[in-house]
Amino acid sequence: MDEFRELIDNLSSEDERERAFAVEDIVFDSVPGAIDLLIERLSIEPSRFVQEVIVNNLKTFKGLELVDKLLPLLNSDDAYIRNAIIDIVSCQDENAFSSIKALLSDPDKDVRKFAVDILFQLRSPYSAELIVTVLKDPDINIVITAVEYLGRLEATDYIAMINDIILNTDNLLLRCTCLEVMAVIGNQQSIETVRHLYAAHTSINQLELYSYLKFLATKGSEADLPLVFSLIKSKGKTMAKEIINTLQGILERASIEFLTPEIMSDLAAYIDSDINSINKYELLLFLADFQNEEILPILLKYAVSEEKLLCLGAVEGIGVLGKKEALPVLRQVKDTVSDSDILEAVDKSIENLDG
Amino acid sequence: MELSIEDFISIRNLVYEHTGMHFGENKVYFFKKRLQKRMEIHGFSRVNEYIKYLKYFDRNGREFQELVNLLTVNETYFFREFSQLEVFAEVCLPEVLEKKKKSKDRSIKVFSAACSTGEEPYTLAIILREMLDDNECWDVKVKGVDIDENVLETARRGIYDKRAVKDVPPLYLEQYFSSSISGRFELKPEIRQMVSFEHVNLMDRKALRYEKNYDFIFCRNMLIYFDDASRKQVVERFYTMLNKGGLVFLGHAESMSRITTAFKVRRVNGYVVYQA
Repeated sequence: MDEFRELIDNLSSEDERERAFAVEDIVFDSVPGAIDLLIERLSIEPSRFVQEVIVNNLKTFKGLELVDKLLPLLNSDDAYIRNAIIDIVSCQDENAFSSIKALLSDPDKDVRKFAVDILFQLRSPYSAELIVTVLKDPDINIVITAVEYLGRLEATDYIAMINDIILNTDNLLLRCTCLEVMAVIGNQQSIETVRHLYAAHTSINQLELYSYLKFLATKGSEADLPLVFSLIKSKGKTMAKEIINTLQGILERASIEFLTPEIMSDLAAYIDSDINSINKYELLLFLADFQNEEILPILLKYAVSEEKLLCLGAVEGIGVLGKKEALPVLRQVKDTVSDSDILEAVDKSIENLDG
Repeated sequence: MELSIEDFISIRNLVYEHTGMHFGENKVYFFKKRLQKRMEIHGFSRVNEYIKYLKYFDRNGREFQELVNLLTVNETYFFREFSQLEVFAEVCLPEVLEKKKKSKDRSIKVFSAACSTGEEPYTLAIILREMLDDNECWDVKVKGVDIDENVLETARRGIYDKRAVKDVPPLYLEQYFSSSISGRFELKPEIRQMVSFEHVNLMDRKALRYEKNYDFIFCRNMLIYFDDASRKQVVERFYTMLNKGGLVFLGHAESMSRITTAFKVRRVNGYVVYQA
């Protein structure tokens, strides 16, 4: 140990640089007891920079010894240390599961929450199997986190439990999370559950409406379109992203070539409204998927817009629509703009129409 | 290829998480075209399939790096990202000079990481030459390092073609370069002697330990090519190389926010700089 004494002493040097170098060298030279030395230093180190060096070096170790020594620090008062522990343990492999599993029944709800976070970040095929065990946790925030993670892990095996949770909770945030997870991994039972639960959609809470639209975007049908168009009128700007996604999802699944005159006119007005340019871009491109004769004039109008995203959406849309009569306008745009993205899009659309 | 805004945001976030590069919404087309190229190579028809591939199946990160290579323009020329250099010259440098004058410290040290053929360190030397009103009183050192010995050879020669000097203000071109009949531009000795070049692997644990007391580090569009652990290691080294209050300049779309919290983030005239 004496041969490493200088390195160990340098861990307490006055000089921040020296402490950081000592951390690196202790790990590089495999100093016996390195894990203990670094963990001990992490808790008392005053410099955030040196703490980061310690954390990055601890991440290079693997094994239960490290995990078992780190986990007690989840009780630290220092938020940086708690998050660092989650970060380091999340770099481990499935060998860490047995230690983390024990934390899922810890009396401290924060520790249980950290354990769920770690399991998610490990992204092992077995993560979901353990996360699902906290779906009945007494702390609602842990349940919400667990549901969210099951969705992000696309754990379809557990969808029945989520279908059940949404039916039996009066917690708004939990319902929202369930809806968003069902949008990703939901099955036919999920659709029926949501239809039953939200039969009176006029009374849906504003916050819940965002999640409900996300659900409809992947699971909704043409029967839901009246609701979506009514929302364009009442909340078209604030919910633009969700509304457009829902429209696209439903209409794509319906596989129709022509939009009804009502839908056509509502969409044209929506593009003309004060929604953000990126949403207009998306809508212009979306329109090009349909064959209504009103679509080309709309695209031609926006192709000469001075706003980049509008011009891009229209130019790309014209290329998708494939109507040769648009060529003169495309050539006009090509002669007048200097933006490289627009020029590339114009060339691509001209190529589509000429070809 | 249809790229919904949702998918754009999803893949843009993925690029940000891995590289620190941020792409605004008006880059949606630029992004889409490059995505399309990679998707065609792999035979993906839907963006979300490609995203899934990147997230869960690209174990060694090779495909992700191919995408990043397409999203970045790997070129080097004098006075690249002019407006960021203005921030250096007109705001950050005067601040440091002022502090140094007060403490009677007359040295300025600048580090250019992955300097390639030398355009960046020479640009910084020209700026320093211009901004220091009493050049003789200052000990100015600009060091450029790169892992590639061949590019460093070119850098040491200090001779460039027309493309490399296209953004050099005419006055500086006349003052600091001599042009030859073959259309090449050679840096004058007064600039060349301000800059030294060294062959360094930034991943070498000990290589930069003895480099210290730098005022500025330029590391533009390089971190994006490193993996997460390597990026952290390099940035840790930068921290130990800088004086207290020293600054790091990254490429305009790059960020340190997911790499370290050790630096203070400063926003100067629309640019982010990182202060030790």
